[in-house]
Amino acid sequence: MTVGIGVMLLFAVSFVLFFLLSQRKLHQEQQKIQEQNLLHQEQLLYSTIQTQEEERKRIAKDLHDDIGSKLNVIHLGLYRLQKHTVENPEHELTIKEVSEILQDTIGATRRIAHDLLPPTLENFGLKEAIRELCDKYSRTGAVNAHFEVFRQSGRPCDKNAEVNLFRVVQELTSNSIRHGKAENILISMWITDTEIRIEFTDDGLGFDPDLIPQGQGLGTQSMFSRLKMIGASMYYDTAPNAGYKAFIQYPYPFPAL
Amino acid sequence: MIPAYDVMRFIINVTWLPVLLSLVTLIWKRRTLSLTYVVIGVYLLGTSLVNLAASIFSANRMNNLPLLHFYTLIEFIGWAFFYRVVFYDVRWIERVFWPFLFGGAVLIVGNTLFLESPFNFNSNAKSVTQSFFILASIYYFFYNFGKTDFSQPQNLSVGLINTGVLLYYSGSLFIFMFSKMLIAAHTSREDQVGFWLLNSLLTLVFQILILTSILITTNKSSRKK
Repeated sequence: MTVGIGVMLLFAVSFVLFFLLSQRKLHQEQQKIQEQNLLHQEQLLYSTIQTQEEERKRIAKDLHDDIGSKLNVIHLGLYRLQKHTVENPEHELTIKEVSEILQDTIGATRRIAHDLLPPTLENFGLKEAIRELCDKYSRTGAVNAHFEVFRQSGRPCDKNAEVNLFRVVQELTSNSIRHGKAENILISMWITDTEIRIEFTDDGLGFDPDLIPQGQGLGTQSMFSRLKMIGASMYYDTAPNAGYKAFIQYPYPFPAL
Repeated sequence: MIPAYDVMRFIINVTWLPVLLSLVTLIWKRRTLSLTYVVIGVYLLGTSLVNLAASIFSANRMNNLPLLHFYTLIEFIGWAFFYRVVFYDVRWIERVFWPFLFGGAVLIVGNTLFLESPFNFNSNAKSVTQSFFILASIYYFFYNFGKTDFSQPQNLSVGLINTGVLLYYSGSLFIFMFSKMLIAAHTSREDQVGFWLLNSLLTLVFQILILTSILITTNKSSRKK
């Protein structure tokens, strides 16, 4: 009887212990697989973003250098043709119409190329690109966008980081206009020797963060992925009818020399 | 050295503490309880009342073994309902539950009426029901293996009760299985007390596990509120 009791108790205890240990091991393995999947997805997203940027750059370059310049040559040819055309009002009118359409096409091509990759960002950096973005939106009358830089450092920033920070600001502005119906946007920027900080504020509709959690939309997801990719962080503060505030912090990956 | 019988009496008395705490907590938090804990509450109340009656019988030097027969029935119904609620999504259990419950109850009562006198140990019924509890708890572990995250309070609390069921009934299976035989063999009280001491120790552990489970689940419900 004593042996029976002992065996049964030993069986029960070892069964429970075996279950707990195996369960823990299984969970650890599942967690590991989940982490690997997450990492893989993250890497996939990063490479998608990077490919997207490279493609944008290539298309913008092709549009500007190839199609744009060829359209200019056509325009020049048309101008010369117009000069040499014998006086025929019908021909003159047609050439004038074609010339106008061509000028619109050249303008549109340039605009598309600029939207794909603002040359200001390439040539003058993030600060000027954001300034240009604000000016552009203000000029269209869609929103009253203000931009201010509080501190500046001469330290050059990584181009890849600049492009991603710019895209995030672009997405935030676009969201404020499209979803937030904001009338005023204020973008403040601090550039120090160790980091870039951007504060984005609008007076739009805002939203309840509990109902729409962070990173749910595709655009928002892409913003967070871009920031994570460059080692930056963002948090936001919003409430229904209380506008939207976002704080972005990009610490330079290594200290200034 | 303290006699084993006194130690056993002390443990039995101490066991009332987690039982009462469990009952008070369950009554206090009755509005937030899940069905699993309603079943546990009813089971604890029923078995506590029978145990109380058994203690009174024992104090008055009356044979309290008829109460053990009744206790076996309550115990069987209580745990059967507990596992029915725990395995609410298992189809085959849903199908066999009522016939099983009815059949089990008839066997326990039939055993008392025709096989084992109510004034003696009901080793047959006890062994069968305890084996069923052991099997049910093992099935619970198999069923949840890899599927349930026991770091979650609601899963951990049910897991603790199930661990208690496995430990207690595995340990006490042989005690009840051979209790009738021990009496028949006129084994002295001193020789038997060791087994009953172990049984009381296992009961205490079981009741502590049930109390811990109740505290975990009620604490979780309060925080959610």
